[in-house]
Amino acid sequence: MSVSYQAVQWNPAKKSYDRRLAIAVALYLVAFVASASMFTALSPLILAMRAFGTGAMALLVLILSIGPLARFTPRMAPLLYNRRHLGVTMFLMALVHALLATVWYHGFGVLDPLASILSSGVPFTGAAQLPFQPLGLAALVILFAMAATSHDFWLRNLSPLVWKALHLGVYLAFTLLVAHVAFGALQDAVWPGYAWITVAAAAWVVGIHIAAGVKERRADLRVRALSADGWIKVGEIDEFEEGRARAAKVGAGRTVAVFRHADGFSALSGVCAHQGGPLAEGRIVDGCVTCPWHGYQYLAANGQSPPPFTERVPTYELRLEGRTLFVHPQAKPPGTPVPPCRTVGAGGQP
Amino acid sequence: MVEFLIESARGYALAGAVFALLFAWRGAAAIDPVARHATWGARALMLPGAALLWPLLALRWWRAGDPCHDGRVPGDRTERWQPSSERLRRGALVAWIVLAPLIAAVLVAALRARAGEAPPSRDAERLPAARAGAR
Repeated sequence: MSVSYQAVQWNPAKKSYDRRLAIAVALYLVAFVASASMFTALSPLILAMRAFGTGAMALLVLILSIGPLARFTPRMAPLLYNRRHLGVTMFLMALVHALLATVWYHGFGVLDPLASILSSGVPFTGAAQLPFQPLGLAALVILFAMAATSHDFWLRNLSPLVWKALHLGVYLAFTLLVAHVAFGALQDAVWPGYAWITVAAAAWVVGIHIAAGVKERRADLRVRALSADGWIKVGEIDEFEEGRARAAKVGAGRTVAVFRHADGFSALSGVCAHQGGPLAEGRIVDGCVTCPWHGYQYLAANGQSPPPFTERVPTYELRLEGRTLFVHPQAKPPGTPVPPCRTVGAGGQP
Repeated sequence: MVEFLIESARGYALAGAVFALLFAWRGAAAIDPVARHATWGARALMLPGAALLWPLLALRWWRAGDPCHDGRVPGDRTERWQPSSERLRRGALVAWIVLAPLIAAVLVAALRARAGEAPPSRDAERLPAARAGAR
C-alpha cells in the first residue's frame, strides 16, 4: 500500500516465495546444463544460453497459467501474490538468453549485432528460413516494457486500466515466443519430445485462457434480477459467512462485494484499487476488507484504506427486507461512508 | 532501413537514459506526491520505465508545473476502473480467440518445415566459425 514507494515491499511470505523461486531457477539451470552436457558436446556457453531460454519459456507458461487457474481454484492464490516477481525473473532469464545468443551468433561478424539479428533469415525461401531471431527480439522488447513498468509507481501513474492493457501485451509476446521457438530451436532439435512439449505448452496456455475467459463471461452475463425499484437482490443473510463476502452483479458488468462483519453488512466495489483484484474473494482481516491478491485493505464502512494509506474504492447502499439483502446499483464516490446494514440483533446477528 | 531503425532506437534510448536520471531525482515527485519520500531503491527501479516512457513523462512533468494542475494522478481516478476492467477481461478473451488459430498455424507450419529437409544454414552453432572464416 502506497504511503510512499519502496523498491520491494518485503514481508516474510514474500521473502520465502522469492527464496524458493531463486532456488528453483538455480536448480533448473544446473540440471539442464548437467544433463545436456551428457548427451551433446556443445560449448558451455550454448548450453547456458539454452538453459536460460528454456527456463524463461517454462516460467512464462507458469505465469500465464496462474491467472486463469485462479479463476477455477483458490489454491492458486498464493502464487498470484508474487506473480510480479515471477515476471521480472522470467524477463531477466530471457535477457541473459538473448545476450548470450547475440554474443555467440552475432558478436563476431562484420555487421552490427543488432543489424545482424534483424537481417537474419534473409533471403527468405520458406517456413524453415523464417527469421526467428527478430521474433524473439520483438518479444523481448514487450517483456522489457512489462518488467520496466512492474513497480507500483507505474501502476498508479499510468492508471490501472492503461497498466493492465500494457501488460496484456504478454499474450502477443507469448505468441511471438512460440513462433521463435517453433522456427528456431524446434527445427534443429533432435529429440522429438521437444516438439510435443512445445505444442502441449501452447495448447495448454491458449486452452486455459479461453476456458477461464468463457467462465468469466458467463458469470458477467448472469446479472441478478432487478427488483421493481432498482435494488438488486444479493441473497439471504443466512448464506453469508462471518468475515466473508458474496459477489453481486449490478449491471454494466460491475461487481459489488457484500461483506458480513461484526457491525453488520457493508458493500464495496468488487474490484481492488490496486490491480483490480477480486475483493469479493477476500476476507475481513484486522477489521479491514483484505484483497486476496496483494493484501490491500479497506475499511468496510467507507471503502478507504486505513491511514496513512490513501487507496479508496466506491461504496454501495444496502437494504434488508425480511432476511433478504438488496444492494443499490448506483456506486457512491470512492471512500464515501455508508452505515453498515444491521439486522435485528446487534453485530449483524439475526 | 534496418540501420535507420537501429540508430533511431539508440537515439531514443540515449535520450531516455539521460531523462530517466533527472526524472528519478526530481520528476517523479513533481508528478506524483506519493513519490516525494520514495526510497533510493524505488527510484532506481523507476529508471528503466522512465527511459522507455520518457516522452509521456516529460509531458506530465511539464503539465505538473501548471498552477491549474489538480495534483491527481491517473491511478486516483478509481471510479473509472471497474467498468474498464470488465472491458479488459472481455478484450483478453477476444485476444485469445484471435491468437489461438494464429499459434496453431505457426506450430503446424513449423512442424511441417521440421519434417521436411533441414537446410544446412540452420546449423547455427557453426555460424561464428563460418563468419570468422569469411573474414
